[in-house]
Amino acid sequence: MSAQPKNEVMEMQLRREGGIAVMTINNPSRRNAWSEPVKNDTLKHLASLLGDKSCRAIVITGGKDIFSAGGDVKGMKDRHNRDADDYMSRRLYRTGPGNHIMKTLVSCPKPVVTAVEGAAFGIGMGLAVASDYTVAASNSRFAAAQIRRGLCPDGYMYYTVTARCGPGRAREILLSGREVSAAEAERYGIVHELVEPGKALEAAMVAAERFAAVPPLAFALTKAAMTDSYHTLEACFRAEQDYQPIVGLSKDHKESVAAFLEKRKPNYTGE
Amino acid sequence: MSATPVAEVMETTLSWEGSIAILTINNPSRRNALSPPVREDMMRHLNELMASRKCRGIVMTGAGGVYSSGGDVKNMKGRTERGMDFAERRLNQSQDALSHRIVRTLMEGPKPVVQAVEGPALGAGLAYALSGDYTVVASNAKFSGAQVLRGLCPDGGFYYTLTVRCGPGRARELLLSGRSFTAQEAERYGIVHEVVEPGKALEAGLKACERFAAVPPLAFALTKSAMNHSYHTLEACFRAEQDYQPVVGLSRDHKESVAAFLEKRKPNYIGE
Repeated sequence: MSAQPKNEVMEMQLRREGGIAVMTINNPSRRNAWSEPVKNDTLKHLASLLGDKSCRAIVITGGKDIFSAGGDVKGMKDRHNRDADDYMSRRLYRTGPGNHIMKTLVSCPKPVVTAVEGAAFGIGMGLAVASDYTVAASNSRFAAAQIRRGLCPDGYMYYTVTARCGPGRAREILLSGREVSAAEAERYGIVHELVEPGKALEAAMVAAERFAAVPPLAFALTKAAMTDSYHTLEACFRAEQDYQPIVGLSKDHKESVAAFLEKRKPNYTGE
Repeated sequence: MSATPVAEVMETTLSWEGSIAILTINNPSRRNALSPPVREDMMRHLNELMASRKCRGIVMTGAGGVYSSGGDVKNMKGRTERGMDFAERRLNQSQDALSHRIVRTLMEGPKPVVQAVEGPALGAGLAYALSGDYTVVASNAKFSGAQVLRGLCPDGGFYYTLTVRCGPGRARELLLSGRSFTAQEAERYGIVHEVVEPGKALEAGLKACERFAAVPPLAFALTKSAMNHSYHTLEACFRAEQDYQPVVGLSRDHKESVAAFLEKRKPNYIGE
């Protein structure tokens, strides 16, 4: 892990539990808003974790009562007051850290699990669904609130929300910005698992361990395919043709087959 | 049908229930693993059935209370031991590889395909169980996208067939973890269409297939074709309507259907 100056308070905290990295949004005075410092910390952590073989999965969580209130409304106001607030500068901003983070979470080679307690609004909801698995406490609440601030959805939510619940429901949720309860979110497929309040992180660790037990190379290539190869049967076959020979020759496949036939636990190296 | 020496043991067997063909994966001593002979028999039968006017629908099932345990793990070991290289492995997954041809035929062929599942359907076995128009499973059926657990990626059309059933959110979780899930979960996620009591899957599968078989065959074939490619955007949808609707609008079966409806009698379709 990258060295962290001891006195610096990270707005996205990072700790390790064995092979699982746990990131916690820690900006409670601003309701865990998706602020520039949170984004910068997250980017730094992701850069170190993705290059770290000992990291087998990433869990992202927030506070006890709030996952994230989303975009920083104060920051939105500041931007209006800036001199050079024009189309081109705003367009450039769209290629910045915020989008880079969401893209990484959705397509990176490591498992990503999000654990939500309380509100996940706007881009906070975007973060909650930019993962392979989302656990939500029964008191959590979701809203694609951007449209209520006169903005369009961001953070890949057209893709991630639609991928979870289908375009029929996504259309309603993204266009109204209304609040969606945890129970609704589970019914629509927006979250994978509901747990009691206070138990989201614990359940997320269990899910992360399950993903971490899969051979890492097979995981990485399957995740790549699941990001964009499921829209047509031919795209799917193309992904099979591209990826299956690679993993078929991997050490971990051999180890998996040997362990299965010898009825013992496999030991994977990611090769 | 092509002549088969009487003594040959078929690993996928064909029987008939009226005009519905029943294809049974029949190698229970190996838990109906999808060995090359199973797939070869399956492909041969499918080619004949898809071209047969007699056949109005296909129900696929497994013998001995198992649908299929999927790829043969011993066969995986054999491939590694004999040094199967990248080129051969890639050829094995090529566009006209047997497994892809089977799935493509089930998904895109003109006849109704219903899958009737008892017991486990694992790995590529599950991919086959989802390849078709309707899946009935017994309540004791068990599922897993198990390929990742063997250090492989999903195959058998899995990224597509699972995802169209349950959406990419759940498909991602199931294909990336390889965890097993129940018939009830599968029904809740939309992965299967119907759950029935153990021992009743084939019966329910035949019933569902009769329902599809009662549809005019040409309208069925073109609608099935459109469902493979034409729902992702509004424009693709309109394009399919524009391409197919005039064809069926001129068909004999459309005229027959309209006449029978107005005369309050049963229609008689000929597939033209």
